[in-house]
Amino acid sequence: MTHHYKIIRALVLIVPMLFSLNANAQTIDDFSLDNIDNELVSLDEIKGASVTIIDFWATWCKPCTKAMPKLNNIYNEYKDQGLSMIGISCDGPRSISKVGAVANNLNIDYHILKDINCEVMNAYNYQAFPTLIMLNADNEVIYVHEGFSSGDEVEIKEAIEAQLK
Amino acid sequence: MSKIKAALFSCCILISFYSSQAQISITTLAEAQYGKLPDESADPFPSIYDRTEIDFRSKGFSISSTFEQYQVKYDDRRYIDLSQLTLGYKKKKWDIKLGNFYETLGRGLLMRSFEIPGALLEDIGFRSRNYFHRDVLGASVKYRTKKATFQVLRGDVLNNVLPPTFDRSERRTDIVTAVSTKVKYIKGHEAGLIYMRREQSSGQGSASDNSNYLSGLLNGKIINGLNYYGEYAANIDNDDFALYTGVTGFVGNFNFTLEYKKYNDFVLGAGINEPPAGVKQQTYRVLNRSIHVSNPINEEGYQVDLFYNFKDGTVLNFNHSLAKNQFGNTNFSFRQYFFEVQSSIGEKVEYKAFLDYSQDPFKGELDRFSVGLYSDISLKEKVRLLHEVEYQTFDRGTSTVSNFNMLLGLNVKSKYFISFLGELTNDPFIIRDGNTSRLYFGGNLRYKPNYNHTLQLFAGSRRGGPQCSAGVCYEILDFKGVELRWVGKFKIKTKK
Repeated sequence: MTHHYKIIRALVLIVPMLFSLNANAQTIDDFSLDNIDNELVSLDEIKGASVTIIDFWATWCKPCTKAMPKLNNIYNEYKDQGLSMIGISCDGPRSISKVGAVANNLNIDYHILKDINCEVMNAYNYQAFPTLIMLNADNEVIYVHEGFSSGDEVEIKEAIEAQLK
Repeated sequence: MSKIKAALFSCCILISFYSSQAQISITTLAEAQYGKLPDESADPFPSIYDRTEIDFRSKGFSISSTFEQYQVKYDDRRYIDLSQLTLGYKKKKWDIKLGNFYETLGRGLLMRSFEIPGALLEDIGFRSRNYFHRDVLGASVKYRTKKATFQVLRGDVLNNVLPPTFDRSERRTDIVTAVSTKVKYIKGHEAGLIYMRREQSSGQGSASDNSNYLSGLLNGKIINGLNYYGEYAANIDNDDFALYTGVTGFVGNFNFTLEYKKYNDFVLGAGINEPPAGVKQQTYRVLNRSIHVSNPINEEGYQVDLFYNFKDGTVLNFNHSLAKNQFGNTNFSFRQYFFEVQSSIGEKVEYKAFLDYSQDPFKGELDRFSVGLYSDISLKEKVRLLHEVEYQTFDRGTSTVSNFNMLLGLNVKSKYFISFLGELTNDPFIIRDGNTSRLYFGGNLRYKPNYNHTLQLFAGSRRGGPQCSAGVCYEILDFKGVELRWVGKFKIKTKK
């Protein structure tokens, strides 16, 4: 029962605080990861002027590789309007060597970064593959899309266009 | 929860609360079950598992905590635990963590900690349920520039097979101290050196169990379209070693990956490392279940992975892997040949098909043929019909085993998803009570009203067995009953 009391004590601290807060968008802090050419790049260096899309993926995730060519089309359609796109691979040691080959195989033009510990995705508690987040110029998360089925690219485009207006 | 942890946690909350700008995110995964293992004699019983993460962020500082609980009628299985608490500071070149954290040294030859998102572990021996992660409890300091990375860490590695009903001293028996450096000596090329010391925690083993390791790694781009990687790790005190190397590249639309591995007595501690398996990770059910699990005690092998991408979007993939194990005077050679095509018919039908032939003498599964076809058909805008069918057969001893499964699913606007999965097997290891076959049948209903919430209901029976995700393989148990899972996210930002 002592465990119960300790949990309750913790909740007593947390709950009033939650109710005192205003709900606002989440902000992604700047981070640095290696790209497929082993160069360290930061979010601030490659973010878009208006919109940045971050797609968390893995080579072994079929919906991820299904989504990527469609995301690439979106990237090429809107990149001149201030959109940047970043694919963050969460491949672990077993498959990280395939990241570059898979990205090339899918003819991906946008930035591909490697995160062997999946730190960025875990830091913001995103748990599904693929997860796509859209940031505005202030790095605030304005749209999130989990999973991918054919046709989802239409919804993603609509979200981009709404932000670019 | 220790007094130190509780005090630290309380301080963290107050600091976060009074900071000028903070973000708070809460993620909860709750799963209620009513059912049982199909072969267990006990009556069905209810249970609830919950994992709640609470993260605070402000100006580079972060405080993360994870509460886990499992409630069931059996005293020895239930628990409430503050399973993770981390203080972090990440700004520009510095990344400092105190508490629970994840880290992979090199390619995992020396140490790999990880989290498998959404996966719960239920060991048949303990029958408690806990989140599937392996973290380190201690401290890590990393300094990273464009040219170099330096890291120092020390901590106790979790043995995640033991649920939180065990004491920390039993779950964390390996203490790791490591110093790692990586330098980009010329553009596109990186060299690294890692020293790691592994000690047994007090009361566990003897000083002679302690060991020291050194690892060297190289990573780079030879020419545009051709990359290499290599890591060699060895025990300084004896002849144990692990070697993993590979090249990957492309020529036009043709892509390749070649990998070689040789592991000699390289299971460290309670299993704190995870050398790459060098075998394709499969998402198809029958292949995922029969995947080769690397054995770093003694394994040598290679993998060839080839892709070709056609202009119309069709992708061909061929994969071949070999893994040789020697135990005593017996040699086992696992061989796999896998072929897959992904393509579409018109604009409304997408499909993928695979054909696999494997020999797995270590499991006693010979001439293993597997075949499958998945299709995704657009019925109308945002309504899709999914169909998956797989068949597998192999010889084991005097038996010829067959596994068959079929899924039918309907996805509406990515908000509603309903599916039915049936699996039929005549595997003598699975069938019971003199039957000649066994059928598992279950239905899934998923409702995702928005990004923040997902509700999933399962009813029926499902087959357990080995499962591999994110490069990690584990055992899941059969289940028969009803299960409701809720994943909820709450994100809040303060502005003053």
